[in-house]
Amino acid sequence: MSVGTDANEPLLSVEKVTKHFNVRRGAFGSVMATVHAVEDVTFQINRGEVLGLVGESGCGKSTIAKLIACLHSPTSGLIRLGGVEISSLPEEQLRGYRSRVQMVFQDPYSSLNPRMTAGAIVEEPLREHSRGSAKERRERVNTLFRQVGLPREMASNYPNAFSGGQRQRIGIARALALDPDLIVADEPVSALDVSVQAQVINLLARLRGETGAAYLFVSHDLAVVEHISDRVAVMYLGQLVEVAPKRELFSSPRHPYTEMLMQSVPALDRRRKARQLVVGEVPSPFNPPSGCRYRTRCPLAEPRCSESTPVLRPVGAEHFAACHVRAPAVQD
Amino acid sequence: MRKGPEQAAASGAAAHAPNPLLEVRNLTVRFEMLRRTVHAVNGVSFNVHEGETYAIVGESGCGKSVTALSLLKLLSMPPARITDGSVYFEGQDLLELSETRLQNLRGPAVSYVFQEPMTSLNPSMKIGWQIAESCAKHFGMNREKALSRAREVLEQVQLPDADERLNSYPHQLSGGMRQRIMIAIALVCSPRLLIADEPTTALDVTIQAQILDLLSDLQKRTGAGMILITHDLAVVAEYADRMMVMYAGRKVEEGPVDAILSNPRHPYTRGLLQAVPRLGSSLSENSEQSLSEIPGIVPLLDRPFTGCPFAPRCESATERCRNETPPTVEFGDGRLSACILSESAGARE
Repeated sequence: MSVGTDANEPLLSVEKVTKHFNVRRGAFGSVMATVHAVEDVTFQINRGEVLGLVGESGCGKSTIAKLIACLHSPTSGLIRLGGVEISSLPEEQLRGYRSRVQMVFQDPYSSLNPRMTAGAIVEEPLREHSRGSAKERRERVNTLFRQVGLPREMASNYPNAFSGGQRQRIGIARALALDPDLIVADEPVSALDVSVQAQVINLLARLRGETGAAYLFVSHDLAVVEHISDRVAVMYLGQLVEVAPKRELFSSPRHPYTEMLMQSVPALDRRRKARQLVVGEVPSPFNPPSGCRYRTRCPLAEPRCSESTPVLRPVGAEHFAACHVRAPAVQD
Repeated sequence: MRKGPEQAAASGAAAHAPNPLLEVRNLTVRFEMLRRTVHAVNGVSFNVHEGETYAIVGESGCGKSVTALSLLKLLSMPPARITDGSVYFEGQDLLELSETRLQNLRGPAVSYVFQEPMTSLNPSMKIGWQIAESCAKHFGMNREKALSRAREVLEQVQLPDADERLNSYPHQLSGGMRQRIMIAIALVCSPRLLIADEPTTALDVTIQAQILDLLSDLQKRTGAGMILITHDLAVVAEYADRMMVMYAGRKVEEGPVDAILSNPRHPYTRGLLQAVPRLGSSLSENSEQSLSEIPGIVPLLDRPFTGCPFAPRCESATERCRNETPPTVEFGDGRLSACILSESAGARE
């Protein structure tokens, strides 16, 4: 199934990817403004690994998910899967790529076709990619239903007969149908209630063990990301500010934004914290600040922070931060 | 003299103040649809005291918002119908009042902060007047005076460039700023009770912290009572004094926040607490453990229950749980649990 040859090679490699969206006056009009959604982002996902991607709304995390799922193409930069660069692939080979990278969406209500039965929804990728005979496909659907904990009899029901959590299970079964190498899950549990959220998180964790698929797990919820990920990447306004194995990140965050994010999360085991006052709001992605994009809210900001953009530099084992103050360039 | 709001809030001792600000008794709300009746709120009772933050917690559809909206009859009726109960606010039963008298109370006595800062503001009216309007209406202020009061409140909610903002329209503001405007609107008439219905659910976590800190500070300063409705137990832990957990339109547990969170009595509360992933979990020993789940889903409310509504999802449910309505067991320290299994524990105390 896997095309990659070298076991040490990352499954997915995102290299200096930038995505701009032009806002036009009317459909064909002149460009009025450009949204700098993703700027010069580089990271890897290894085989079987769960990489969590966190950030606030508008930080570009969903854009990254869509770039990787090939629903957007990058303005510049490369995305490689198993060493093969994908943006230059012709359409017929792109189909092969799409079967190896599948997506689970946030909204379990709008991401399922209401006119298709649950069984047909899960079978659709198999039909699209001409996998197996009709009988084999039916058997595969049965297996998938069992894997995600849905009763097989419900395969003939339409999505409206399912609860939110069950719908998300259908979406997960659909993503697993082609046995992908990578599952891109964009806020997969955000629309669910706490008690059901735990069910779906546990399901995703179990399926990862069963299928060996890697996940890109995109979420705004730090605690959920911490629970499910191996490594965590933190985004701010289109850029990665910190990447580290989760224990490393949650025990010793280095980027001031990561620190602020962690302080902002209310915690069950303490009363209102004497937290450092969270200042300001995220600036507009139409016109991001020069240099470090976080400097307008950063308590550590210095003059150099507005002069040049910090890049990810190592601050520990597999731990990278993009900060002039906390991770300065080594002086010669 | 009552206790200062700060002391009361800090100690949670407001529970023992003589007269509650708000006293809800046996509130029962149905939605009467064409083919079915939804039993949204079933006999819910609670008190809120001055200077106290009282949290109502539960998952979607548990009846927490309907409870809050019923207090000032803000539900569209029909289909909603308040079939039983009373809501005493400063001695009068709000459910008995005429619409005109209720309107006079909305704003100066009780006001709401809603969840959706994007849709709760009038898109074609300047911010300044949206805030000032209720002052003009309730206190007969002229335009100029009402706007200067609006400006004052904008400063209280820490919105920068207050003068400029008075003349802005909602679309010119971010989500966090709009929620500050919503809070300003709620506070402009200095209400004695503030009802905040998921005030930060639509906001990012850094903005959530700003808004909740602000609400909590303003409430302490004015000594108003606050009902904080949320699905997020961690928000409750940080900001509320007492809480009630709702399930299927009923109160299943009530008491001081610290006591409930450290030692939940109802199996549903226990399940909820264990199902939430916690920040810093990866640093503990058993970090690879899976989350504990509450099996099954929330029941439909379109028929009356026999027995405990949580019984089908409860690990410790017995035959009695399925057949008998659970008693409300009191524990003496202001704590209640609606669970047959709490009976023995309650009796001992």
